[in-house]
Amino acid sequence: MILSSFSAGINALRKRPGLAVLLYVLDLALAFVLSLGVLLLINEEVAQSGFAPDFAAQFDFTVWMDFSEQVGDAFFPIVGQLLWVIPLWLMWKAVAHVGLVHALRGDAIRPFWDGVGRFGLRAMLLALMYVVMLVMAVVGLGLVIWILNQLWGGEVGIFWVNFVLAPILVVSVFAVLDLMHDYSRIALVVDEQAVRDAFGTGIRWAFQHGQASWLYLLWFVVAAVLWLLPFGFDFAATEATALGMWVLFLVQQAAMLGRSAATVGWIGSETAFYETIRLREMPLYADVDEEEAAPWSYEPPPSPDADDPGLAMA
Amino acid sequence: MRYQAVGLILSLFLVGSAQAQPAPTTSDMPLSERRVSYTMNVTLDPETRTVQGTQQVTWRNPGNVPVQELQFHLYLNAFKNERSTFMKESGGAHRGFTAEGNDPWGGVTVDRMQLAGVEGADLTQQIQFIRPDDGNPDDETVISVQLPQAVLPGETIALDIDFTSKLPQIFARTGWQEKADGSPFFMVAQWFPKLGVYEVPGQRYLPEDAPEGQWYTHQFHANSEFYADFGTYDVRMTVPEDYMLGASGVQVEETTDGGMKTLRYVADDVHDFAWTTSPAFREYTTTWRHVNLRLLVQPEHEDQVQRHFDSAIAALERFDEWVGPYPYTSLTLVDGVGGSNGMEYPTLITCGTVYKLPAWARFLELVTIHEFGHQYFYGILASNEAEEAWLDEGMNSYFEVRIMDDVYGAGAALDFPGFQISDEAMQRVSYTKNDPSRGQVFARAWDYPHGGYGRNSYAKPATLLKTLENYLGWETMHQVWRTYYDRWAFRHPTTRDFIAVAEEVSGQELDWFFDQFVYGTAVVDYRVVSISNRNVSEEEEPDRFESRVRVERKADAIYPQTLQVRYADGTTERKEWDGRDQWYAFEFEGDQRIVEAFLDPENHILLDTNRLNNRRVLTSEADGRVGRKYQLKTAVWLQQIFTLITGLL
Ligand SMILES: [Zn+2]
Repeated sequence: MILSSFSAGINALRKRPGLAVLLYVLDLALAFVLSLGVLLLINEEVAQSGFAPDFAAQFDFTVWMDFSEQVGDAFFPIVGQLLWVIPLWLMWKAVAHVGLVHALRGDAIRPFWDGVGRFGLRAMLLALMYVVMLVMAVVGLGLVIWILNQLWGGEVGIFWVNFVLAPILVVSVFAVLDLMHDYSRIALVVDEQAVRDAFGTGIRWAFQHGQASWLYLLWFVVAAVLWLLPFGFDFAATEATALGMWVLFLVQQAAMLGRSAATVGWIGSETAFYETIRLREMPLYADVDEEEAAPWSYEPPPSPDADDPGLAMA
Repeated sequence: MRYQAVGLILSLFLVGSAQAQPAPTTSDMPLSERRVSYTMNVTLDPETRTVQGTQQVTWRNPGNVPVQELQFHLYLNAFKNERSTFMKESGGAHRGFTAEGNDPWGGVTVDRMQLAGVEGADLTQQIQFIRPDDGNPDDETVISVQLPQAVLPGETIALDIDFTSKLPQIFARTGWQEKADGSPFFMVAQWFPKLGVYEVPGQRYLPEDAPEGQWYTHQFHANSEFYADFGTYDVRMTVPEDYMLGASGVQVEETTDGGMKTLRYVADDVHDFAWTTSPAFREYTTTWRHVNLRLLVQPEHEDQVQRHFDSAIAALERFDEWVGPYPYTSLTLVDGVGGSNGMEYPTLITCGTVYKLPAWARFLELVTIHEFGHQYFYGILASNEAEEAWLDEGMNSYFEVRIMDDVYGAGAALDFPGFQISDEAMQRVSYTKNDPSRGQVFARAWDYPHGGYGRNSYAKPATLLKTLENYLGWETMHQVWRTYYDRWAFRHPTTRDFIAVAEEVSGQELDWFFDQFVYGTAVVDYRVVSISNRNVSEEEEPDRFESRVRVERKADAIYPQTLQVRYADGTTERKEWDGRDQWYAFEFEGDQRIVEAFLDPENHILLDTNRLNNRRVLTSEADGRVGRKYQLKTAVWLQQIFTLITGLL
């Protein structure tokens, strides 16, 4: 079941590679535009300083500090841009996710933007509810970590609590929330559940279906490796020539395109998994209308895709 | 394990030849004048965190007039309450540690003082607190004792003293601390009544023709620790039997009695004595030439034993070669608890690390090398730290930089892929980017402007001495250090003495340097303003250029400059300038245009507060690679952040 859902995700990616490219290109375009400020700022002070060739080859703390002193506050607007970019991008990620679920569900080809348009607003509401969950989780985690620190004092305790336990705990809790959010979004799109119901479905799903966690973990590992790769390249590279810089950049971009592809595959997998489970539960209600067949106690709105077989794959 | 085995064999050997008492120095003769001697017998009570004991102290009058007064440091009284000069200056906090918690305060009381061997000659009533530095009536860190009879020139006086030292909770490297597992740790430092220094005419800054000598006994200040005379120490310390103990000097005796053990240590030709004890310590030993190194380490840091020894031996080797021989036969490295770490005492230093310290963070190495360096700059070359802190911390920071960068290379201070920082760059930036014009290096420890102690007694001296080294060349500078050591070892040198050695050895007048950067607050900053090339050839003649490089002295310091220009064909040429005028134009003539001008191309003048403006290229030579490199990196990092957001929502 896990493996078949996993390969369903791969198949979805194979069918719709354009979606991965779309996600990737938008991230790249925004990041590139934002980073232009750095280019201008550095070159204004350094390009004609004569230190550029040395500095491109090797980091020089003294010259870097002189530069930092020189540009001073000019750096802040560049960082400041992130204050509005990140919330905006969070919204985009929320709507893009339902767009993906819509595009990848079933076996019919559905336009991504159609999903964004139809479910975008509800996806944002749903995301807002998960933001509240996230804030609660952060507070709870902070409390747990604080208590652990009190219980297990000394530098050995500090090390294990803060550098080992806390990161594992934080990543695990965030991952569970992310898993719930994923299935809430799928319920929102596939079953056209109301926002509040979809929220509940996601939470229940995480507890009811152990295999969902394994599927999540599988993709998590793939995504984490792909995410870490660009940093690894950064540390390994000693690029000094213009060509070297671009080669490093392109290699990193390849990893990041892979990471976007993983997002598409991941969502494709989870959607397939959800639909398979839902189909399995259906025979119990084989004699009733499909819209009443849902095992939930609420009434889902009639689905325009109700005649869709709902199976992404065999 | 390797070290434990060595230690075992060594101790077996010692048991087999128990008669042969280890000597604390390599010399059969006294290395110092030994004006003082201390024989102490003390017992630690771990419950009350108190050290109680007796002391016989002797003092020889080095002058040529009788002396009727003795002065002692009672430095533990700095931790008596928040009204002491130390606590007021440090604002109740010392380098991140504060006096709070239960039983935080400490202090030392002189219970009895009398002339040795003279019945009824009790001096306890003669003890008076004095405040020679600031007159703070609440400070009790210095006492004066009027003697019933003057000590004649060349004569020695002996006093018997009973004292009680209540250790504070660790503060400024001294006191007790309980580890997380409940095991106690004691760093017994600045703990006993210690004589001040009676300077005779002609010594340090006291004029040759002064009618008499003078006591220099400074109160305990937040930023200064030591000034005392060389002598001998013979100390018996009694602690619970299961405690491990480390002390200045060498152990010569051990006896046990009723659950307690008494260890006797002797230290010669030193000017202080400190010890530490805890049941938690693990012991490791090794040797380097004539030196027995002993490490008392916390069990959770046992994986870092090699790092301690490697850095200590790296420092021993280089000090031996660059400055002079290490004359003692022992060196004890203590991995203390909390605020006790990063401190120097004779032949005993506290290092300090954290659990699982990664190899790229060379904090442990830096502290060990730095504190070892104090065996020279503080220990052997015992300047008055209260009055001239830079001779102690500053010279030592210079050697810390030299050793760290020599041993660990470009990433000595921080060794992260693509992000390496040398210790030299770290010290330089700590000076140049931190109000470089505020406060002078030559200042009494308590006169530094607020926040200026670190800059003016560590970072700036390290940077200015490295600059001086670049100016004189290492060959000459090396001779300066060796001569300074030969002439002033086991004495109390001053700034004036160091300058005299530097001038004598280099054969150069160096007042211009020391006046500006040690006694003054001058700041160095030169910049290249512009490059211009004018083609003056007639038509059909080969190209002929008149070129001009305009430079500016932007700050008040005057420093000789070298300008290097690069011509379009890649050849270079250098010209010198005395650096005096505020504006200056270098003139060149040739068949090539100048494309680059570079002041101080060898990076010799580390005092220059802005190196970026030392260099300029023509617009046609502008190089956008750095900007592009960091732009691409920024783009990638932003993309990574955007991807991470997907995981959160
Ligand atoms: Zn120091």
